[in-house]
Amino acid sequence: MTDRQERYVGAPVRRKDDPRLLTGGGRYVDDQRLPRMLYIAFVRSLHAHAHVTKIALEAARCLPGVTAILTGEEVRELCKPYKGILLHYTGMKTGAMLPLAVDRVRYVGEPVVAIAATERAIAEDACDLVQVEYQPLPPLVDPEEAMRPGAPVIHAELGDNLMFETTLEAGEPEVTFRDAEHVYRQRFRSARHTGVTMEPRGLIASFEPATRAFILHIATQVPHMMQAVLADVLGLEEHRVRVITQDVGGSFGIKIHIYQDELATCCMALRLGRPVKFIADRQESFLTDIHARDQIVDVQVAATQAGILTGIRAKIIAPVGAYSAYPRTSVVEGGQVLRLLPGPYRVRHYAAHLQVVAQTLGITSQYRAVGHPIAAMVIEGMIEHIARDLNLDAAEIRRRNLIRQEDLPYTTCVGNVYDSGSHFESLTKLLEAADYQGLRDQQREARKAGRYLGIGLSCFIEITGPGPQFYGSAVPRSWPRTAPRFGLSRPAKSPPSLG
Amino acid sequence: MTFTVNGAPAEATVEPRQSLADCLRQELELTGTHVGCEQGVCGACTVMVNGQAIRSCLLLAVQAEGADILTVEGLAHHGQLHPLQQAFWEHFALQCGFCTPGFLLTAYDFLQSHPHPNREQIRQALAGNICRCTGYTTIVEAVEAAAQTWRARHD
Repeated sequence: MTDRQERYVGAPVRRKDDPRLLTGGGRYVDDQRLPRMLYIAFVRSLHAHAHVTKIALEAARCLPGVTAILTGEEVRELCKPYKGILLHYTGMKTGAMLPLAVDRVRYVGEPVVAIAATERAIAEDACDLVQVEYQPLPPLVDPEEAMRPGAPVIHAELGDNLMFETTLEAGEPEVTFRDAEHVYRQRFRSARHTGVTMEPRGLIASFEPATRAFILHIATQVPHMMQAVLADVLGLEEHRVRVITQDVGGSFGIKIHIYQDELATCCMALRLGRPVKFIADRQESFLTDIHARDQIVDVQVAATQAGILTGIRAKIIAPVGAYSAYPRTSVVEGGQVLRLLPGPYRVRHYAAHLQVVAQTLGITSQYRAVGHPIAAMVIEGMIEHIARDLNLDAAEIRRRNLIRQEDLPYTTCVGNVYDSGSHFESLTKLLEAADYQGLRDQQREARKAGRYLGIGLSCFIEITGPGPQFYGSAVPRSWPRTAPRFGLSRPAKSPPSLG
Repeated sequence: MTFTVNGAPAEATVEPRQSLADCLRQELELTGTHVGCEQGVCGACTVMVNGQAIRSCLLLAVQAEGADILTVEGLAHHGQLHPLQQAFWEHFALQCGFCTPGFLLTAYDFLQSHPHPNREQIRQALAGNICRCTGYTTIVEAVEAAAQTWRARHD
């Protein structure tokens, strides 16, 4: 190895930023202060679903220190409505969002009024003085209820609450299940999670009317995306939008999206021509950070007497909240589960149906692991169930089904290609290192003494590098006065050409 | 109000309802102390007040009148990292760094009264600080290592 390789490859290398972070020199967005900066707070919906019939702002306006108040009507003039739709999810539909709710609220926590003041505490005091009158509508939380004909429709113009639907089939599942020696059925329910970053979401939006320059300090994973999104929805020139991201106190996907309260803050900056800071407090974070993992999976697994899995059928219902998240959509997690259920096992016959459903709850989207925990819970849960029924050891049943070296490169029934991997070999090594037989002996002895010891195994495949095809295919389009930009479109039949 | 912060006299004009955390961050512009929950649950706002580790989000600034306060900015001296900071660096005990000042002050308080801790005691002592990045193992290792180097520096 070269000297440089010897110094770095496999060696622990201390990070350059740590002394700064360790001595209180972090530069998180709430540590930044700009001249003439104001602070924003929000009046948020107390109802899951309601008409907004009246907003009384006079008392709030009179509070010393309050500089400006925005409602949905005013924000409509500053920001165009936006929808979290990606074209390669054919047929996807969702309601348009605005930074502040207009006429109707669709989840508890949806921002309704934005107040900018000289201090956050004053802005919050002013929010307490705002009176909003609501006419409650029936909440829609259960996704199966939401899909029943005649259910209240969350976005009237869409006709129903089904956001997206797709099917994936491979091999001959009908025949496989018809002829199976054993068929096992189970419903799995995964509950809502959220990422809980130690640093809550936050930004400082700043606008200079004389130059139409927009500067955004934001805790985000995707500053370039923010630049493009802001330019698009706020009607700004992209090269005049500057996004600055320094230290971020954790994200895990939470800060890869753009939120209504963040865009409302940007609108306030546009209106006032001054820096406006929004830092979510912990309550706001729990309520409005994107959630994830809410899914119902009805699965059937066909197996032989020897415990070989021959087929999987699944009905996946993914309730995802009131709107599809912008711009990455809320359908990805359901789509991941659709593709990941077979896991690292050699199953050839597959039929799965996904329904992504709106509900009057907070928005969901990608949060680190996206779908993998749900898929693993389902298939590993079924493997355990089958092992118990067929009186097979948990490790043995996995040995009989895992993809092996000689199978590689392996194209799964859903079309993913595994070009490398060593699940079978890793399991063997793991069981050796853990002294699996010893553990099972301990377990038996403990059981005699009335103690219940559990031994859990889990095998999974993680999608780490989906590549650009994950976003659909790109077609370059020309852009006035700057270099060609790329947009998203339906998969093209011929290679894209510049023009 | 007047008080001492990191060994130096400090003055601030605060509202009665303002927390010590907000006072340190806004009035004194010492932004190393972080606010993670404002409910005293996460530990990110931990500072030393009169020799005790406390949650600065739950203490009103006015309650610190005349107090002697130590924040993360006061741990290093003349550019030399405190043994805890050095150990955190060497043991990769931080990633995003947001929880880190809280952990440092909590560990600082703990090691003063427990110079020879075992891992179980360290875990107990740090149980009130939340980290979402590291998984805690390297933090425990760093505190264990710092206990040794800090003792050595004193001996």
